[in-house]
Amino acid sequence: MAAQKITLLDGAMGTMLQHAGLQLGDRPETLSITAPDVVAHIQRQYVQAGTRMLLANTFCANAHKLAGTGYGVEEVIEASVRVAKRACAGTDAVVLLDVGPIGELLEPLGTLKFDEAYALFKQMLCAGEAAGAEGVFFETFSDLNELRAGILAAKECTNLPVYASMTFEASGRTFLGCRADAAAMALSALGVKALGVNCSLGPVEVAPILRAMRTCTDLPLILKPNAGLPDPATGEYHTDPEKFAAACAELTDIGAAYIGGCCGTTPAFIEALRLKLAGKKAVWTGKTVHGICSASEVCAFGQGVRVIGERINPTGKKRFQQALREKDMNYIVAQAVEQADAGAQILDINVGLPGIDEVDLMRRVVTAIGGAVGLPLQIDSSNPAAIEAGLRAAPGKCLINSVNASESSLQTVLPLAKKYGAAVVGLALGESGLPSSSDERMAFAQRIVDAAVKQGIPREDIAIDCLTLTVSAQQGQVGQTLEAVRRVRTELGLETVLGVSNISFGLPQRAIVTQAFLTQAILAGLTLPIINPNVKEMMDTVDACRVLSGEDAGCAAYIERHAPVTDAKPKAAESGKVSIREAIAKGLKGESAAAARELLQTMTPLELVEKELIPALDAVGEQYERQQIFLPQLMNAATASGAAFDEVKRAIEKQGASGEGKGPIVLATVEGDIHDIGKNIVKTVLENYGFHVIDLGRDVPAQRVVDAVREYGAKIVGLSALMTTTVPNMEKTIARLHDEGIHIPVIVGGAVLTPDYARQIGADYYAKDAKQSADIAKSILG
Amino acid sequence: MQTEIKQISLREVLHFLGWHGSPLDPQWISTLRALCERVEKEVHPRVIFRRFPIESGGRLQGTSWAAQGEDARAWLASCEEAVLFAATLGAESERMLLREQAVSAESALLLDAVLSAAIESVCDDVESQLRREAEASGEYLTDRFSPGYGDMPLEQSKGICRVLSADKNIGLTVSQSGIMIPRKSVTAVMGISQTPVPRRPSGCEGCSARATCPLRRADKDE
Repeated sequence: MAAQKITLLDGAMGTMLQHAGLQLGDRPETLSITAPDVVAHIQRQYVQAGTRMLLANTFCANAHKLAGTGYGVEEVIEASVRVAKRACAGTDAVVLLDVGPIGELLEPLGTLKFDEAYALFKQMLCAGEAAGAEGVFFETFSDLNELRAGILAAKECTNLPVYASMTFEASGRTFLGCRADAAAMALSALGVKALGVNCSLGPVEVAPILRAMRTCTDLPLILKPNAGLPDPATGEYHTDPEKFAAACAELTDIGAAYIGGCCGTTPAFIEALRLKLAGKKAVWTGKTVHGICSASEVCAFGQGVRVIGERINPTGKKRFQQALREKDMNYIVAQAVEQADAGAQILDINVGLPGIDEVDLMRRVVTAIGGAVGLPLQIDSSNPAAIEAGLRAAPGKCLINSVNASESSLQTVLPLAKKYGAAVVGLALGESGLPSSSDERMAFAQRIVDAAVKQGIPREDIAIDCLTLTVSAQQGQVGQTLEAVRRVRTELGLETVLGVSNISFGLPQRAIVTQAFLTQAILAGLTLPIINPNVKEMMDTVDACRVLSGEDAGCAAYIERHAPVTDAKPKAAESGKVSIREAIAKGLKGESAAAARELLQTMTPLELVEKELIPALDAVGEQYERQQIFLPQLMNAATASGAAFDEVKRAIEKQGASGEGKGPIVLATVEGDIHDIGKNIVKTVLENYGFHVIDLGRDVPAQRVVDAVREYGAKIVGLSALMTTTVPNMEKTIARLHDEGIHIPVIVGGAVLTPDYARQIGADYYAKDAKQSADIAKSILG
Repeated sequence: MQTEIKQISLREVLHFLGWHGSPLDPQWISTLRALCERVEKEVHPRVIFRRFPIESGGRLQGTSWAAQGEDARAWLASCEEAVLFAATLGAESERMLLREQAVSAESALLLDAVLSAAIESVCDDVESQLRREAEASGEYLTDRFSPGYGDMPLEQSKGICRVLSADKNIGLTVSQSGIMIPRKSVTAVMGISQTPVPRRPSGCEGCSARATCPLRRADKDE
């Protein structure tokens, strides 16, 4: 049971300033310079009402939001802190720097880079500390990662104590989908002083959100709700201060220790809080859930088996390696989506490959996956810098894979776990090499636990990997591994990890052995199996074990997944064999591939391409141009021909030649623009016409296009931009290519472009759609 | 304010996909319909609007915002008040797009069109509701006029978002390059008048992009 005295925060600033004549849409922060008395008067009222932690008028004082006001960050913050200090004069109230969101979305949903957000916050924080603020209060955040950028900046660049608060909807999630309990877990991991909720709703509606936070943190909570719900027509609030204070007071018994008000609250609300809370303390019991999380999911440990998907890993996978080399994030994200759909609860992220920049790729992959798949991540690398890049980029609390018992590993990895509040997998081996008995495994595990606890890492954040060795090579080790798993659970009480698939390496029909091992390991106490969730037998085994252990209460999840389904939709009647041209025209992928395989018995790959595939595609393209079919049908046909091209590629590779298509063609949606649907369509169509495409994604700076052209020896560059505001970046990219002496053909496209405009910005070709892009590429590359 | 997508018009989706009347496979249509239903269920749009008197000179009272461009000014000429409006399909729609796009460009294309039709339907619903309310109190509401229509600069979205605190209230942000994110978002101004207001010529006729727009409807409007 913890207890703490209650500290009163202030109430709304914006509401008060509007009553004093502030125009909507203007920056209230500049008033600290232009009308300091107005600001000080409001703040003085709050201090007189009872506020003991006063937030300076700096909420939006970041360089982006102040742009165009004529004032700089430092001067606004210095003035605001000074005004606030004046309001506190003669009392024991302290002034905190108030920091709100930047107002732009971070990657991957938006275009603001994590490092840019970090730099914007850093500027505010350093100015705040220099001006004499005694802490920083981050509030009204919806994006956990943006808030993380701010907290990291505060921890790395200042000595300011950090308070962190987010704003939620009634659903218990933020606009960005961040859950309250996940926020609490992730923010606690970063070592803030207190965390909680502000703005959002009234105190009554906020209560369940704050309670959800309580389950995942031991820290005192912040409660700074609105004055009830606003009138939707006028935006006015009508809750009275006493009711507000009474509702807030009910939350002191779950640890609300920093209490104030947000939109619609006035000094009267703070006064009411002071009266209502007089003599009260915040009391609470610690968290009930531990584990790891993303912004949108909490993966609780100690409550059964949690599946770690192993597929984001290049080892032995040619296509994955190619995707990493070409930074093809869509391919990698698709692997994440597939595993999530198959039932993975944590995704292992390993991007280690000789000759690539692992640190950069780790950051990119973690960011890209975080946008599309909401699962918590396990950052898997032997390179500490890559681990740190992953931990920094991941929105949530991660698991590190792994630290081992060697001194060098303990000294490099554990400080990262501590700094980012990550959980960590301890691999039961050390300097002396692989263990041969369960005793040795236990000794290594103990050494890791001791070192971690000494660093201040909580025991519950440590999992032990007892090491799966290949049964075909070291048959006697299986028993030792399983025994060690049992002992880690019973003697150390920790979570256990195993790379399950290793067991069957080198054996035929591996799934049979892997499945049996998984069953035995779970029985022995394995809680975090690293497996391929796309293999049905593996997930079936997990499902069954959950039923047998009682984890799947009432067998509900099992029944849902395995109840016999009668296929309601009758399969389309087997039409018998179709010709390859018909298959492509109708967009039938399987049939197209089958027809290609058959034709390759009698034709050379090149003949097949020239006599069948290209004419089939041409026919479809013509229909598209005559508006007899429309874009989705063209894309279907292109995809079907892509399936046939894959067969051609395989046949060529069988002959020992490279099956890589013509090109490569580098594609990018230019810097500042995220509208990439069109570019992705062009990519699909080009690929399925047999071209090799390097897709740089969206919001791509000019230099990256230049670098990619050089790195991959591109023959053509394709650029897209949708908005009038981003077309200038297209021009810039072309100019940069030319400046760097690159004069390969550039094709441009996008809704606001015209052939004239394309010429004007220096492009060689304008393509009105994907079909025309393919025609141009054909005319250039043959 | 959170709202729901009532019904996405399949015709509108096909329009966004550039359909010109070629024969469609019924199974494909049912896939598309299922996608519409999924979006109707999983995406929760958010909208915000506020009403302001228009001062002489066009500025909205209590703000530093005024509509720019001849077209918008003409649009609001007979109005005494204006409603600023912003709507977004929210971060879920962006995540759905990122996910779909990783899996296949085809399904991302379909989803993109469905989401475009969805945000239109949300805006239409709110606009009709506001019109009903206006008419009930004897006032007239113009059609919505968005930055990018006619000669109203696209950049005005940023100002509308600022006045409405759209980032804080509905999670709608504007990037440094002036792009609204989530992408499936709309900002607009509507005029309120005590006398009947002309309605915008429906469809493409009133649009300045009609000469080159690939989505231009074949006839007037369906």
